[in-house]
Amino acid sequence: MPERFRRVLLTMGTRASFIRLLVVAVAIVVVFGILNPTVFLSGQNLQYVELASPEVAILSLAMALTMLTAGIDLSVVSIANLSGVVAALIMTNGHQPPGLAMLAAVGVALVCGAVNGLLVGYKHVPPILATLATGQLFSGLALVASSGTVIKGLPDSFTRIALLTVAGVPLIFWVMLIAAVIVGIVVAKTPLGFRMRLVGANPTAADFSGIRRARVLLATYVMSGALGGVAGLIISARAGGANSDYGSSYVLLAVVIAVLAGVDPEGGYLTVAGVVIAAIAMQLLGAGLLSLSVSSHVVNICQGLLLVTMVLLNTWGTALSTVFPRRRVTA
Amino acid sequence: MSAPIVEAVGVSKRFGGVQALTDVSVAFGPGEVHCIVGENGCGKSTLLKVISGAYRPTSGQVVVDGTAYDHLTPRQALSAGIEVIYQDFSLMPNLTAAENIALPGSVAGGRRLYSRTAARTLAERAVVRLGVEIELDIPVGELTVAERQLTAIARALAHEAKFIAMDEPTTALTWKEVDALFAAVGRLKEAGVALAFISHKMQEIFSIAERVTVLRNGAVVTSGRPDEFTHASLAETMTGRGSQSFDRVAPRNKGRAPALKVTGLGRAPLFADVDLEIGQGEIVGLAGLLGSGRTEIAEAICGVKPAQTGTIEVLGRPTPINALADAVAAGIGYVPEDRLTQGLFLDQPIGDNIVATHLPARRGFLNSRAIERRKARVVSDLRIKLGKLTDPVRSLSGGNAQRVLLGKWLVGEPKVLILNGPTVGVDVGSKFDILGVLNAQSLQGLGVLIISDDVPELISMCHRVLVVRSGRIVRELSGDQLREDTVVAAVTA
Amino acid sequence: MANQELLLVGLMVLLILGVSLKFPDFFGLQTLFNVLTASMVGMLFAVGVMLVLVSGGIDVSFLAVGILSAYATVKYGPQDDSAVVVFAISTAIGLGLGLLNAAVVIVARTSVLIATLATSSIYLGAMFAFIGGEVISTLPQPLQTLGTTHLITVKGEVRGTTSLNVLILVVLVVCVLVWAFLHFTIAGRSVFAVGGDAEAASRAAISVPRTRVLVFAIAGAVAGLAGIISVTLSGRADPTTFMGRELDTLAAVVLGGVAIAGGKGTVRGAVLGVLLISLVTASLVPLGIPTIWQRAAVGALLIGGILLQTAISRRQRIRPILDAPAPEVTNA
Repeated sequence: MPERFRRVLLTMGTRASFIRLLVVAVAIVVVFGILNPTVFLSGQNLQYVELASPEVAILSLAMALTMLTAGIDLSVVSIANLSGVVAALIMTNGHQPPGLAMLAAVGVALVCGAVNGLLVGYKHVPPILATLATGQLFSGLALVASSGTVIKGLPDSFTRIALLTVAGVPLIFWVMLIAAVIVGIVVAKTPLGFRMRLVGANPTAADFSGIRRARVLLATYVMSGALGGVAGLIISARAGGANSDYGSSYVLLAVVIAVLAGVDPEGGYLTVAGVVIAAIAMQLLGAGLLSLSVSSHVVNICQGLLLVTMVLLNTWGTALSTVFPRRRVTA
Repeated sequence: MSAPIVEAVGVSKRFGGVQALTDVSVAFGPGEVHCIVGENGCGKSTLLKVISGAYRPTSGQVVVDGTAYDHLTPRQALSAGIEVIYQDFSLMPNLTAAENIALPGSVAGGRRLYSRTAARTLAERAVVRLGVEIELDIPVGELTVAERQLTAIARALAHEAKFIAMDEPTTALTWKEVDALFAAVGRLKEAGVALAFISHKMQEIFSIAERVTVLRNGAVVTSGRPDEFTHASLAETMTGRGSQSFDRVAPRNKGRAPALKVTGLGRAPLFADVDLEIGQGEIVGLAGLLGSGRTEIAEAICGVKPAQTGTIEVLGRPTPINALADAVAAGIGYVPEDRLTQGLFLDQPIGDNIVATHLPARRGFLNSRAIERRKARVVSDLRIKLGKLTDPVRSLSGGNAQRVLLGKWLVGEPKVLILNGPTVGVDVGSKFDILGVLNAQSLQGLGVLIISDDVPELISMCHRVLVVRSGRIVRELSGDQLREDTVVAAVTA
Repeated sequence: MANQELLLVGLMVLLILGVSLKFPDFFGLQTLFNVLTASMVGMLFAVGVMLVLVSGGIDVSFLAVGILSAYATVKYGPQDDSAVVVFAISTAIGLGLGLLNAAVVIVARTSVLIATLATSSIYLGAMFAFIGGEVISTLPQPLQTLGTTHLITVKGEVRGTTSLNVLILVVLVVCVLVWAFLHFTIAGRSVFAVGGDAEAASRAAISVPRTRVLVFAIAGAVAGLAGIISVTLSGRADPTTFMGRELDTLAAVVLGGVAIAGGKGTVRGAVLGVLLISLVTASLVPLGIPTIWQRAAVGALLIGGILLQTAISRRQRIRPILDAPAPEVTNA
């Protein structure tokens, strides 16, 4: 069993960037733990992080999945919002139970993902373009559906989801972990995940290896869409409402987290554990800075600086260690 | 010899842990064609890139017209009259051919303003000087490979160069265009330009060179006049191994259902009425000039660009093929022409490359035990020398990477293997390795179709050669007729 | 004119004709002025984004650069110097921030998208944390004057007047300058070369870092200028003006046929993209479609546009190989 566990961990990434990420995450905890132990290490703060991380982590997982195939999903937050709005409308105007509303929301997210997948896989539209356009469409539809307002008055049975805890940990945090494990299994243990990686590494070679690239991409964007839908439900449960441009900065945040995690935007590499850790680390950083009662805008600066630092390390760190320097094709 | 125009003096170049060049000294004199030869990865291209300023040497100098540079920049090199035709052409795909030809000179000359008409005139003159035709006003990315290669050549001729280096400049060209290039080389020689010429093709080397320098493992092995070498001795110097040859073995499984039978294959306006049959254990060649339709026919059989009409049978079973995946399922393998970019996932593990096409799965999950077995079998069957299976393919030598590519297909035990230019750009040593593997596999019943314009190679390997011209199979040669002169005649008729 | 640009013009004509059939008034100076006024700031941002895209990168920091430059200028800049000085200061701050972008891209050797993601959150954070987050509704006097200096004012047939601010001239001049830079200077052609293939460009003696620095400097300066123009036109400096609107500008530029992968794009296309979106917005109400549909409509339009763009770019010329009848087959 330990051997098997080690192998699973290995498939999740052994790159230097992953170790650096761990160091950063631990450093954040240690630094703020020393600077302001009473607030930062309090149960309340921990719970805040547990509640705030899932939506960001799940969106980042979606982003990372598409990056594995050398793509990107700029529409994932729009999908989340559209799903949230649809669920809210079904519950409020439609007076249907939350279960049905949630199913419908995920269904909408799957359709949105399929639209992306069709454009990227079958119509050969560059992912950044396709999802830029569909993102506008989806959020535009959400805007129309919500009449440009925040849909309030969601039933308690729905908003309570955000408050439930299981074994002392918020339910939505468990949802995030389950989503991560599912993504991890798909990526590391199934032919689909294997092919996603190869498609990302070299699409031409994937074609010439008999891999049906369009199908792989369709599956990727459908998965990404589904994750977006789940994130949308968590967001509206937490906010107690739904609207069309909740968390518009999440798109960029999700990219930042995926890159922090060491996911290669050029494709071919994904670390699920890294994404989850990076998402939590970003929340910890935010919570830590706030515990020092600095302006919330310093958090933005620090997130930006952290990203620059990690990218610098990823670029120059390897050059300094010179174990496997990147080398150009020589002859 | 008069004073050299360009000279590399004690040049070494290291990429991380890899020593690409070791203390290389070569001089290029005016009016002389100097061939640099050697196996893939011997450092030829690296040497050119040091001379052109694209790479900075780790140690050593480049001397241009008596001025020594520790680090020549591309701009200094261009200003000094050094032009390089890179193997990958190094053209900007979004700019027009005219602009590609004219821009470097303007940049190196430190000009600030750009004039489209002036660029057009300059480009036109260069193309006329080369004696070929290129569409100058559409983006280079929309040109054919041959036109792109000609654009790269024209660019080198556009400015008053003192030294022109050509890295495999003929790979994509038809024989007529090669003639035009060689004529241009002759004129440049008379004008006193120094020329460096890199090639794999023995015939070219011996017909054009006035001096030959052989590189092996990044160091100069020998240098001399071409008449000091024979084809065999040159090949031996390049590889450091004795020459090898093959004995063709008669196909054993004649009489049984053919491995591949193609009837009436067509796709307008590329090819039509293609009938061909490959017996089990038979190696068949498909010969034809670039642009004759040979690649299109191969790509149709394996579903990359499916045919519109005709039928394909594998072992007597009709199989509709609309995608490469269909061909794979039917037992057809396809080794594409551009192996490094089309065939392999360079940054992915060696093992994953091996199972990329034939991936064992059970109930929707990867069957890791079967996967490991397959990887191990390919490595031992094909004698691939590697560190760890998890190392990236990039870490392998050229020959071993070739074997990974072959292994990737052979692991699925195909009935037919189609190879497009299996030894194009492959050094002499690896070439024999690849051909050896194919020969061994054909003995076990694999039907092989080799597409190539390397006539001697086809003759040494194939039981039969089919000749493609203008999109149709026009001749079949076998037995006594399978000679270099007959094939060349049929191909060029 | 590229296919896509023709299509945009065609669409605009169709839209204008369609709405004019219903409301003949629509076809007039008022609509023109409304669309131009709504597009002015967007056009400048789009031109900057286009420039970076052509050089092979996706800049998402332009709005942060724009608003930070303008807000800092309004807050700390001279209050009664001439408007030219105020504009110059904002442009210079934008240029400086652009250079910072270039430094991150070049030193960290990362993609422009990642680098500008980081810098934009730093810029925005720095603005809120160190400069302030409150809306400044009293602009320096010269800006207030400039904001009401109109080139032309026409009386509406039904209601009020519509004016075209004099700043449209500044926007036009910048567009022409960038266009001239891209087409008539070696540096401008180098931007295309670097966007097409940076490695090949550097072998052609083009300095890739220098080209990048130039591109980011221009894009930054243009963004700084766009920021101060936006502030001047709206009569207030609101640091949250552009929050989260990056993708809208990118969408307009892409609609204008600028290739997201770099190496291809025109000032004309970027401007047309912005104009089309403003025109769509202006047409929705007369067409009886609630403005709330604007975003979805632009999204649908964009999907159509990129499908077309992709189809065109994938179209390859096939050289026929077959010549007429089958030659004699000789099997010997």
